[in-house]
This record gives sequence, structure tokens and C-alpha cells, in this order.
Amino acid sequence: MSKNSFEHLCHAVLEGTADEVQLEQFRVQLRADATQRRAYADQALIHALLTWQQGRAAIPALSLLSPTDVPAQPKILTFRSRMASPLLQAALAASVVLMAGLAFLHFADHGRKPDSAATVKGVSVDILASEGSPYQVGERVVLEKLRMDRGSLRFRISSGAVVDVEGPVVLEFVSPMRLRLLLGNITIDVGSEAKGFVLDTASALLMDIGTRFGASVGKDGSTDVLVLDGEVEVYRAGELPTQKSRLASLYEGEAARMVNREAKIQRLQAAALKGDRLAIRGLNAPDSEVITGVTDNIKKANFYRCYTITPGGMGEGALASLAHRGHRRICWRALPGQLFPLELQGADVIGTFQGRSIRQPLADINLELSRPCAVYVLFDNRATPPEWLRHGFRDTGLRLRSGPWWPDMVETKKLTPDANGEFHVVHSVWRKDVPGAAKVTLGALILEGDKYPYAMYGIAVKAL
Amino acid sequence: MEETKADASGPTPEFVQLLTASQSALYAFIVSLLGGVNDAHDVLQEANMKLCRKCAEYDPNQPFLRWAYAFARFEVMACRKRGQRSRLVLDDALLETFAEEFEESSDEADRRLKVLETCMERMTPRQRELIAARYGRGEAVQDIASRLSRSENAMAALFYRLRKLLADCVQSVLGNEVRA
Repeated sequence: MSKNSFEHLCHAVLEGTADEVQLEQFRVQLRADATQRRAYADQALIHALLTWQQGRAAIPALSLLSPTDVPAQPKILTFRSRMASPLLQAALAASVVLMAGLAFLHFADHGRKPDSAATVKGVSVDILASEGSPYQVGERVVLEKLRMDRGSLRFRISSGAVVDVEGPVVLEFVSPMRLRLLLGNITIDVGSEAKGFVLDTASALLMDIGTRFGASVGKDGSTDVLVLDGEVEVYRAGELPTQKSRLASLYEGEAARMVNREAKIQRLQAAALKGDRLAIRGLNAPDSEVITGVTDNIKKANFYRCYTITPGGMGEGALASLAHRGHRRICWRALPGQLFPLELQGADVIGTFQGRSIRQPLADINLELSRPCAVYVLFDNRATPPEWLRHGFRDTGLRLRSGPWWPDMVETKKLTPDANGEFHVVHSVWRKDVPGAAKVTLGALILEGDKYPYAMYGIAVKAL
Repeated sequence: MEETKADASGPTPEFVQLLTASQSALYAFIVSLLGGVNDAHDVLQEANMKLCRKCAEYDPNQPFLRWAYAFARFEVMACRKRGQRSRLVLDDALLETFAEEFEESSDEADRRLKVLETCMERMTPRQRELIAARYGRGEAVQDIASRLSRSENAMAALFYRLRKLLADCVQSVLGNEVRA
């Protein structure tokens, strides 16, 4: 294809890379030849539909909702806080279901500090932390697209949302309330001001109802999402967020995968976290040198509970469990007056989850292990150790606490609060050495017939 | 097209449904007239606003898209006049020509996206992966070319052919539907 052939010119025009000389050549060819006009129309049409279809052309929902708010002349988009107009209210009343999703987006704009009038080209962010990125802490920059091969960055968007990314990542800034993740991992804390924050990917639309979630987009375009705190609604990509396009509501401790925009939403059984902060480390490839997979045999519809893997994270305050809908985290602690057991310090810790599902007698957890290691099971000291634990593991004599629990949970019945008024469960530490790569199955928490609601056991793995 | 006060009753659910169902077709129309996706969101947003404000003027017996295209076309023209875009791809005469041709073929426009999906299923996995890289993950064509050790020109030609393949397929499927 010669540099100025019609195909080349057409491609350059659509990609926005044509210079003035090429544009004029292009126009000359279009004026002269109906066949080329037809060809351009076809190219532009497919270019637009592909952009739309692949989720990279989100509908600006605000416009549908606030038609009377159009200023007479501005022709520029602002993020001013606006109250719903009578027209909007009427429209909402008339079509609640259809427009429910749009309303989320609209209401998300209320109460936000007005930005200065500006076209929606780039979003202002304050850099809060930077490691190996081109930005400096304290700097304020306007970003349209962020592409980082390595390093990490934490920034606050003008909407108040705080975002963590780690290279490799490709991220587009659609508005202060909307980002588009093309590749890599992101953790978003929307705080109280930015509820309704939207993250688009090729395979899902994620709306944060509050307050913290992580997402990861793989090279194949699939999307993983893990809710760390609060609630996230998952919608089909490229569609308006309505009741019809909603795939699931996920709460803390729940995770899901969307392979593509047509596929069914799947439960994501395990996700890796960073140890120092509650942020995802990479959902597609948990970064543990020992644990390559965690699965269970729970088969339930609309069940999205997830095991978390924190590589090297075991120690005082390590995450034991993300409390479902509780806005609380249950952590590992040493017994009062004792140091955290050195043997466990620095192990990879697997966060399990509480609730009826995991207490069913047949629930098994499978660990895929890649090298010689010690597997620790941290077992509720009040319960009778089941056979799989007594025969496959040995009690190390070490003890840990999990907590703080709260008094209205079934797991804390018959517990008495400590001196600080907090509830903790004591766990015995059981160990099994695994000589090489293997799959280890951990059995049910309770014996069949035993209905007592004990705390779910914890798991840690340390390379030998 | 002058500004008028919004109809107090606002868009009906039926109107909103028509509007939401037409978004991809409106977007494609705007992209064609603008000569690219840059600024297409802004123009679509403006067009949506105007359509909502003028909803009372819509005659349900008329094709919705043809009516909506007129607003989108006006917004494209307004966008050009604002001078926000230094890069004008089509002159006024060409824009008129394309708009008219587009409007004439509006009957099946809202079906195109669905048909496009069917056509994509007929592509080879390698072709689909290229489309996913460019349009799904937003990779620049030059980055894809570099990753696959191809020249940028060769990759541009390949994408031109892929779009043509899809355009022919969409046209063929829609044509068959009409004949059937």
C-alpha cells in the first residue's frame, strides 16, 4: 500500500493521524470518486461500530437525563453539580426500570465540587504515591491516557476517588467519575463522594456503590473484579447500566470474572492481595511462589465468595477474612502478651470466608502447591478437630487469635469480650509438610451433625 | 434548529427506549461525518440532549432514526463551527453528501451492531484477536505492528481489509434478511 493510497489515507483519517496534506488528498479523492466515498462510508461505519461494540464508546448517560440543563451556548461539557430538573423527574417516573442505571450515573454527579468549565479531555489528578512512574508525588496533572509498563502509582481524581495502579497497565480517563481499564490491575477507593464511580472494560461495566474494589483486565480482554469493601454492581459491557444489563451485585469478599461481554459471569475463586495495603496484586496471576490455585467444591447459584491470597503477608494484623456485608476485616493476631509466632511470620496467607456455605459438612478446599512447603491450618480451638486434620496434620502447639469479631455474629456466641471489649476466637495451629508440587485437600470445618457455628479455619503456606 | 423550552412532560419511556436503542447507529453516523471517533462522544451527548428536549415533536409514525440523524447532523455542523476541532476531515459539501447517503440507509441501521457480532463470529481467531487488540484493548495500530513484527503500513492495510470484510458481511446479511 503506497503511503498516499486511498486505503492508507482512509486508515490515517480514521486513526486521527492524517496531516493536513493527507486530509486534502483524501477530500480530493472522495469528491472525484463515488466508489471511494462508498468505501470510506463502510470503513467509518465499521470503525465506529467496533469501537462501540468493544465497550470503548460508552454512552454519556448524563445527557439523556438532564436535557433541560443544556446551557444556551456553552457546547462544552462540565461536571457542575446539577439538581434533577422537572423534566428529568418526569422521565424517571415514567421509565424507572429503563433508566435506573442512568440515574445512578446522574446522581453520582451530584454533590461533587464543580470543576472549571472545560471540555472533557483529560481528568485532573493529584499524585499521592509514585514508584518508577514518570510522575512526582504532590504533582497535579491532567491525564487522558495512562500507559505504564512498570512501576506503581497512586492518585486522587477530582471526584475524590483514590486509584492505585501497577504496571503494566493501560488506563483511559473518560471523566472524573469514569475510567476505562484496557489492561492491567487497578484498585479504586471511591470514598463517600464518588459513589457511582464507573470502571469500563471490554467485558464489563463496574459501578462502585461504595467503597473499594479491585479489577484486573488480562491480555485476552477478560475482567476480574474483587470487592474489598462495600458493593459493586456488574453490568454487561457496552450497554447502559439498567436492571436488564445487570449481571450481579457483589459485596466485600466476593469476586467474579467476565471472559467477554457475551459470556456468563463466573465466580472467581481466588484473588491475590498486596500485603501492606488492601489492594489487588493481580487477579489474573496470583503472585505467590508457592500457591498456584485455591478452589472449593461449593456449587451454588449467585455465589461469588472468594479466597484471598496475600503472598508473604502472614503476621500481626494479616487479613484472615473479608467480612461479608459487614464493612469489617477479621485479622490474625498473637495471643495477648505474646509475640506473633516466628514460624508463621512471612508465610503466604489465604483469607477464607465465614458463613453457612463454608460450614456445610461436604465443603472441601483444594490448594494447588508448586514446591515443597508447610501448610498450616488455623483451627477454631473450640471445635473438635475433624479426622482429616487429626490424621493429616500435627498440632504445633502454637496458638493465634482471629478478630475482632462482633457480638451479633453466630460465630461469637458464647464468647466473652476481652479487656478492650473486643471478641476474638483462639485458633490452634496445625501443620503438614508437603514434599513437592502437589494438590492438598482440606476437609470440612465441622463434623457431620455438628451444628455449632464455629469460625472458619484459616490457612497459611510457607516454602520450605 | 432553534432552542425551545423543553416539553414539560419529558421523554416518555417509549421515547427513551427508542433513543437508547439508537445510540450505536447515532454514534456511527457521527463518527462518519466527523471522520473519526475523536469528539464523537461529545457530539452524541449534545445530540441526545437536543433529542430529549424536542421529544414532543417526534411523530411515532415516522422512523425514529431518520428523525434523530437530523439532530446529530446539526450537532456535527455545530461542532465544526465552534472551531474546537482544528482537523476538519470533510468539507461542507462532502458532509452533506455523506449525511444524505447515511440517512437513506437508516432503515436497517439499528440492526447493524447485532449483525456485526454475527459477522465477527465468522472471522478467524487471528482476525478476531487483531480486532480485540485494536478496539477492545485500545492498542495503537503501530504498537500491534511492532508486537507482531510487521510494518505499520502493512498493519494499516490489514485493518482496512478487516473492516472491509466486516462491512461486506454486514451488508450481505442485511440484504439477505430483506430478501427473506
